[in-house]
Amino acid sequence: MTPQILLTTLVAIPGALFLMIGLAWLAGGHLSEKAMAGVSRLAYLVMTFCVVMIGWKMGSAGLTSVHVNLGNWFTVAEYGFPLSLVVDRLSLPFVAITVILAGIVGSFSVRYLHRDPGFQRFFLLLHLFAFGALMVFTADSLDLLIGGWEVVGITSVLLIGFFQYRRDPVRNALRVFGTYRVADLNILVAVFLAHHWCGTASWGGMFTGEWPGHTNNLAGTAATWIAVLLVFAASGKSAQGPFCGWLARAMEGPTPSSAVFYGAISVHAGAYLLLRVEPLIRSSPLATGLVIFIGVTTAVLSTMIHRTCADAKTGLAYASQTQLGIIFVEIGLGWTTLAILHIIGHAMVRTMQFLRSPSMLSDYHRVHAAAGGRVGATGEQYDSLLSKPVQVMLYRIALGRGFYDAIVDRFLIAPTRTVARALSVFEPEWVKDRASNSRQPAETPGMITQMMTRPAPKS
Amino acid sequence: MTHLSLPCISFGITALLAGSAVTLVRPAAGRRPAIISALVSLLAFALAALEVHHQHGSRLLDAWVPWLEADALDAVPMVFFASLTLVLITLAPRRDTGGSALSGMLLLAAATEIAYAASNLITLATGWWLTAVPFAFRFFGNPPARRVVSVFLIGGALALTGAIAALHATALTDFSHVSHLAMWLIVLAVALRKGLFPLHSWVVTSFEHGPLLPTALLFNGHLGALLIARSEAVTLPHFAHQVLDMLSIAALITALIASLRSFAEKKPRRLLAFVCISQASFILAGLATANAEGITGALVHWLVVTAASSGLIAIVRILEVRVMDVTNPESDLGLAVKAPRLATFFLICGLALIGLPGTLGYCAEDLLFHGALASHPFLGVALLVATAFNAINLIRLYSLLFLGVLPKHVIDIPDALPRERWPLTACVVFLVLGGILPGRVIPWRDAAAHEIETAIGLKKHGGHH
Amino acid sequence: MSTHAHPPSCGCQGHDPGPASTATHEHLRHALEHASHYLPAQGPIGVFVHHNTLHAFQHKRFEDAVVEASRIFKTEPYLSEQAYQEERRRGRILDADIDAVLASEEDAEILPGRLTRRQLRRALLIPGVRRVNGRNIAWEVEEGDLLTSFRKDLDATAARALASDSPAELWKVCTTRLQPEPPPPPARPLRPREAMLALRSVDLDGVVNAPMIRLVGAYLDQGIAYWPMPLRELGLLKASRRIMSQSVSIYRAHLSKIGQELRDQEARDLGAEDTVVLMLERLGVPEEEWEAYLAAELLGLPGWAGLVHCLEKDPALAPHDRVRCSLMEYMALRLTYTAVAVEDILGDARAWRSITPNARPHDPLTHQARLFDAAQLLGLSSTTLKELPLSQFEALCQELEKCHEVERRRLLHQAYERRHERQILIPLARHLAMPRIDPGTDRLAAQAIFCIDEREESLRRAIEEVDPSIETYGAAGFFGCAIDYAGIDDAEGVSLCPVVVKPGHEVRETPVEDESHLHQKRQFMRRLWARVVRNGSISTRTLVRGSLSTAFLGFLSLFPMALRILTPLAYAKLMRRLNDIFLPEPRTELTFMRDSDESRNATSGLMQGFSVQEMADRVSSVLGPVGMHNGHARLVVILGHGSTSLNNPFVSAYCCGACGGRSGAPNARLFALMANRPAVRERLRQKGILIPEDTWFLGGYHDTCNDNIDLYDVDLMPPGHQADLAHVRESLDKARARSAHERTRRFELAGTGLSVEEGLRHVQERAEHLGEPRPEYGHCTNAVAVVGRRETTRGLFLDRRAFLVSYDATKDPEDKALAAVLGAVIPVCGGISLEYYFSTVDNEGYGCGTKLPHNITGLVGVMNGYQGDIRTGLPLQTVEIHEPVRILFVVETTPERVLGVIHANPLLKEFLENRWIRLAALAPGSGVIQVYRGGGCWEPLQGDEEPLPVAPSSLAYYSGKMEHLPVARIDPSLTKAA
Repeated sequence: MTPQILLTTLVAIPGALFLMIGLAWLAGGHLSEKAMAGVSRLAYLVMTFCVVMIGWKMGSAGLTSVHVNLGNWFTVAEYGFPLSLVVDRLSLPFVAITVILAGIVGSFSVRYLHRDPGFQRFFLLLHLFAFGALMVFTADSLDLLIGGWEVVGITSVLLIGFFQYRRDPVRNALRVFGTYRVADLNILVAVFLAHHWCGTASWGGMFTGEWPGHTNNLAGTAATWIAVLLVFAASGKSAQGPFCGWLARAMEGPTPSSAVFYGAISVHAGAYLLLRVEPLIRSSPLATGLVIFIGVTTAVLSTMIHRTCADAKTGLAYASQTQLGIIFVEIGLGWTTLAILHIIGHAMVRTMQFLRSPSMLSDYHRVHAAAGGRVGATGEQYDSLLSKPVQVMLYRIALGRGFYDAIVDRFLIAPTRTVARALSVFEPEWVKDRASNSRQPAETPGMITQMMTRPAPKS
Repeated sequence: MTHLSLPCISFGITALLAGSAVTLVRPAAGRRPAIISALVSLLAFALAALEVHHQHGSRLLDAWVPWLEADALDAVPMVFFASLTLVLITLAPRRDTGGSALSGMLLLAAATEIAYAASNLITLATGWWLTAVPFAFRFFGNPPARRVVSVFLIGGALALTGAIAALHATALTDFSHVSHLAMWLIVLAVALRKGLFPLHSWVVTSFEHGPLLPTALLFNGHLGALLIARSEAVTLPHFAHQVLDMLSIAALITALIASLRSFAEKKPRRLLAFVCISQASFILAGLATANAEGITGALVHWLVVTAASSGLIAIVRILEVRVMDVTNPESDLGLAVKAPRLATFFLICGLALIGLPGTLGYCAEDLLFHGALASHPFLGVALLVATAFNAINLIRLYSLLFLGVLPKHVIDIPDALPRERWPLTACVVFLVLGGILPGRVIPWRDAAAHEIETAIGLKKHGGHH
Repeated sequence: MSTHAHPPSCGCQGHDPGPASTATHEHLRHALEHASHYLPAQGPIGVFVHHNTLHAFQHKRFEDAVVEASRIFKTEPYLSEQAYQEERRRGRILDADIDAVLASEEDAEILPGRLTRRQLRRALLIPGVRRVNGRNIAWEVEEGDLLTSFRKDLDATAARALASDSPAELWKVCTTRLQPEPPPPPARPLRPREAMLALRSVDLDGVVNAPMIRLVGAYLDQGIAYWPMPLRELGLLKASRRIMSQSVSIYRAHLSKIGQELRDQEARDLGAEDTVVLMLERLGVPEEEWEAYLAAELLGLPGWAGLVHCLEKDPALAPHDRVRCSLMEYMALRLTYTAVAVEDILGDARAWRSITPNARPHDPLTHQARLFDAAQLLGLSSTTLKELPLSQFEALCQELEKCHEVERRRLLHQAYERRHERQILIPLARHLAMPRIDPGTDRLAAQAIFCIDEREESLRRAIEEVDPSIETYGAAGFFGCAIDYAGIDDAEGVSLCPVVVKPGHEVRETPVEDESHLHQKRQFMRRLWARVVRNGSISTRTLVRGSLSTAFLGFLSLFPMALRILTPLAYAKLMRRLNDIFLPEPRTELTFMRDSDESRNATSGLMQGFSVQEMADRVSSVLGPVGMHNGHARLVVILGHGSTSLNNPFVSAYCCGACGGRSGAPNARLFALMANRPAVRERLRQKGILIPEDTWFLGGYHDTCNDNIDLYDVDLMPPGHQADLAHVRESLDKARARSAHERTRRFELAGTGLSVEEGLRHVQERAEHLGEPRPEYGHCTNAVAVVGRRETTRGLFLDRRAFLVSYDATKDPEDKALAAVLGAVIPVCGGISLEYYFSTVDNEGYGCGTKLPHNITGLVGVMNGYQGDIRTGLPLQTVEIHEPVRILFVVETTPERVLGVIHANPLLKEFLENRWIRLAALAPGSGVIQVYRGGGCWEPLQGDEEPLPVAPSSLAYYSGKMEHLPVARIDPSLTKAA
């Protein structure tokens, strides 16, 4: 088998799985837990095999990249949407960790979600997510990348709201969705600007050469605009800078989804995007500065917040955010190899920690006992280095999570609502709104419903 | 002028009218005659569309009635509208099939099809007038919004008639030497009909207080867009371009305002109305881009909006009949626990409407934006903002209806019944498979887009001379 | 509560309402104290203690309590009506049960000569009402057949009566005759939240809970946060005031003035009580409503408030840092936030009281639909209904209203429990009437004492099946030894005894003399390991260290993760191997001897070890009631139990309840050591317990999760007993595999058709699997407690659902042992049973919901998601196969004796008479069973509709079945005969 076929198979498997099981379910079919688990195991086995083979073939043949051109998805006049995939030295590690970690987490979830009413939903979404993530990492153009990007986003939101019969997960899922949409606006605009200015958004069109060491085909303001927009888009996915508030909210989902999305794969997609368009960012001092600035500020703020988090998952979320900030800085400084290494290591550690987060209690007690009842106190440096008022102030900022939610609520969402409400001046009240007061159905009941109305009392 | 080999169009329209008459006279006969007539008309229009397709999108007159025709632009929407009628009639809850309601829906369908198939402006205007009939003559009972809807529909039709009169006064039936008055009247007709900002409120009222399923039919006729597409396809006067530009800006503003406005809404019907209005405005905006991608995008988006919004509206209606509180829920209703399939249908339709990758909506919007980029870059960006807002509001609506704590008084509502499941599956399959293999769907609209584009291109070309 | 007066200067600021008087404060304290009774009593989750969830309502009858609690907590009192009806269809509830339940209640005539209350209720329960209400009736009418055909499941008489009638006509009569129900009068809002929701659609809990959770969470944190909350020593209120009012703050919506408010309070140095009084006044709550208001406000975040309350009452419950907790401070903080938010929304904090909350939407059609349905069930045709005199019609309607949904559920629940009772008692009576299944030897090969835990039932049965010459006994799992214990690996001592008992003696595990070097090496390695792990876990999360360690070492965690998830057993084996190499375990002994009478630990005040007399007392306290007075076997094994599992914050709920949610192994070991001492045996002889010279006691440990059994101090055993030991070991090994296999029948993932060895492997894998939310089912399915001799239950398959308490009434003439046994067993087993009951009937309300999104917070509890309430009670995964019935005690003694003992103890009396438990007495000699019906009234067991299946072995009986199995007789002689 050629690497091309392997790559196509690799990406297509989870998508096809999702589509088949999903449509079968809609039509009234149902897959047993056992069958679902078996199919998923097999799929990830095959996918792991594909990844290994691709890596081996590339290594043995000395290929730096493998391109697959599947033709145009659709064409209109001169415009065509190219479907082409690529695996190179940047994508390969990402593809590998996606397949491996999603596989491991899938295996974990077979046990974890056993008998949960959402078992099938979870696995459907996991497959869809794997498809989206693989698409992001193997897309040969920004257009295709967006496809995967959005799929990753929506599956992530649906998994945050996995416990749909509760209020909080639903509310937080909605909030995360809103954040994603605003962040994704940036990447969409970037794509259109790329089309506008270079006529293409494929890597081949935007850059010359292969990763690493490819060069930029754009220059000047255009490059800066696109780079800045992409930096913001990446920040959205990786919970950085202006979008740093959502990661903790994403902890509403079941533990394995927290692990695979917010520990491992989804949050690193932003970093991948930056690595991919690295020359573009490097060519613009503004974008470079922005990446470093976002990374540094987020890392510092997040590590401070992390230190005050008294629960397992939020703590991990902010710890992730901290490391992502550092990864952004590394990318900004051009240390791409280090960044990739960092991403891989971070993904592995974090997945493990998320999966083990219910153990935090017994882990702590074991360490406590082993240390003879004296666990090294933490946070003492604050006492020794900072004066009390400064300590309290910093603690306040950290405890308020940097006031992110307060700012967004009060200065973004509330004004939007006000404007929205004000816009109702253009809607004259054609119909007196009886419904809102009496809580009766707004319509006249049908003929049958009329039978239910009470005859007038006879005097 | 070539003719269709069979009188498909007149046959299809007659079937609808006959169905309407039968259900009006014998309401006791129930849904069956209505379904049969919709099915027959669907087959007839499908035949016509196939023939047009085989003739590479050329104009084919009906064999019997020469003022009806099928061409690249209207053949596919005709089939779509017929299937939409069939879908809505099939899944309509019994509450919406009592009395003369079915008859009204069939009449509405017939009127819309007449407007689609019109080979001249007078027939087109007839279609417009006819759409107002079921509302004006209380086919759907007397819902609170009846009067408003009738007034706006009649207003639109009047404006169109006025335009035609103006054209006739100058004794010309094409647009080449049209008077300013006629042009402006056409714009007015479109704005009234489509509910462009600031004339959008009647559509919202109709969604909220009107009969919901007929409103879906009315809304998805997209007769305003049709009128613009028709007028683009013929040669236009010099100033028409500016007028069209203005119309596209109005559409854009409508899209933006409606998407923003829905943030303040909590009632499902109103929320849905704003999302639909906003997304439907893209069609008009796309038609105004005047290039292949944009126009094709708009025409595909037309189909997407039709399928997706009908699905959404139908599901809201289906839920309303099951649980009273859907009309004005106090808090999230959490119905997904009871009706997971309806929830999934809703989510897929909604995501297709706002253009999630993997659905046809994505391809349509991709084309739209590319088109917009080529001609009006800022229009593209604004549309992006509107979709982002719409997406958020759509998920809000989804949460409101399907997520959260199930109230204790909601007991044992059934999930989608077979009668409801199959039409909805059809919608979803079209949206999803179309999104995965857009190469099979988009070419349906190639010929139409090409025709419109050549018309505009020729004009531009001529203008340079 | 102390009554000291506050200094008058406190909080006195002239123009403000003066300092609240002492009486006011006293009132406030009382109000809060009363209000706090509704809070969950669960402490930090590390020690999970089962108790009656509705402990605060125990002074009421069960049926009234659950209804009242359901109103206060907005929870369910029973299973849903459909669930019971489903059980009825399944045959788990018989029509006879419903009839019997109805017969036990008062009857009345409703329609003279035509209908009695009993008939009416029976019709509503069989076949059950149609679930229609005004909110969705339209659907039933339009799309369903509500008005076009009568119900299909009517009984013959009703159907005949309606034969010539039409539903539409009947509906019309219902409509015309029924007086429209007036809408319920608008209620006063209980707390501002309801008013705000109605008026502004603002969820006040959403505003107030978030900062409360964050503050209290940070305050109570026991070591998760890297940076502990500063100023914690000032108490929650002061620390929060100082921190939250920092001028850098940006507050969330509706809280913009909180900073100023907190600064003001701080400047005036208001104490907690003054603040609460002030805020109550500001919110316009009159003094007589304080208690109700405070209770409502506490229930806005019950988990956290309950935790604060628990830690206030007993600071020692905190696993590491003993923080000073005060519910009053919590309340002061919460009320301050509430008042500020209400003021921000309404302008005036008092205004909320005059707002009427959204009335529950009123459905006049609901009543109509109910009457319509009932008329069908009763066979009242439209003409009959139309012609009914007004008084009768009204009586009918009233009666119908009285038999509302909750009432029907109550009746169904009683029928459900009645069937359970008969499914247990009738087979038991049959079993007793059959020949005893006994060891058939003169002297037993061994005796084994287990905890009374119902999970040990299968193991005990398996042992007796494997080796009939072994007899088993059940005693509370701390075996009379209430100790403060520290093993060689423990940093400090923990109490190993029921939580209500405070241990008075400390026992330590120490390495034996000649292996102390090994011990030192072990401790050195453990310290090293702790340092590495601690630093490792911190340094992956921080900024600088984190980036280095994740970047360069992070990928290493792939291997343990992958191995652990993909091959959990192999990984566990590897880890054990590594442990054996690097952490060698020295042989140990227990220090439990006390030479002088008064050698107390200076700091803890605990006695060191036991004197000989104390030891003898403890040994006899177990052997006495159990009935082991003489003729002991050569080997007596005492098995404590515990549970180990991975990734499970609830692990303590699976451990031994009698040892305070910990492992009972040390108690068993200690007990054996004590019983082996000649001096102790000498004293025991004086108490009438004659232990033969050649009897040896051996302590051991049974892990209920992976079914491992370890035996301790085997090296101390005299050489002559080695053969006995080998024999017992072999039997135990066979039995534990069988018991494990029996457990797997409940696990869906295990599948059917496992061999016994595979069964054992399966449960071991469960214990080692990282992603396993139900390593074992814990006390799930518990339903019965048999207090009596093993002879009565030996050979009975009780499906791991019965606590088995050994008690021999024939050797207890004065009922002293009975009093001791019941005094311990009834509250413990009753608590477990009721906790499971409530967590099952409303898992979201009383239990803690599904485990899957749980998030450990502060090492003290779990919450949902990133910021929620502490969840108390049991998770869904633990109760999913539980049958919620009140526990049925079967005591082998006469009714008079058991009632005498119970009535002598006020706590037990309340428990029994208010029907929180069920009771039956089994006469020791005759085997006659009497069931207690309350009020001193006993009812002899009659009827024999329940069969007693007989099977040659447990395996043959249960194999291939997953559901609850009825009691059966396991008679090994059947195989021999065959």
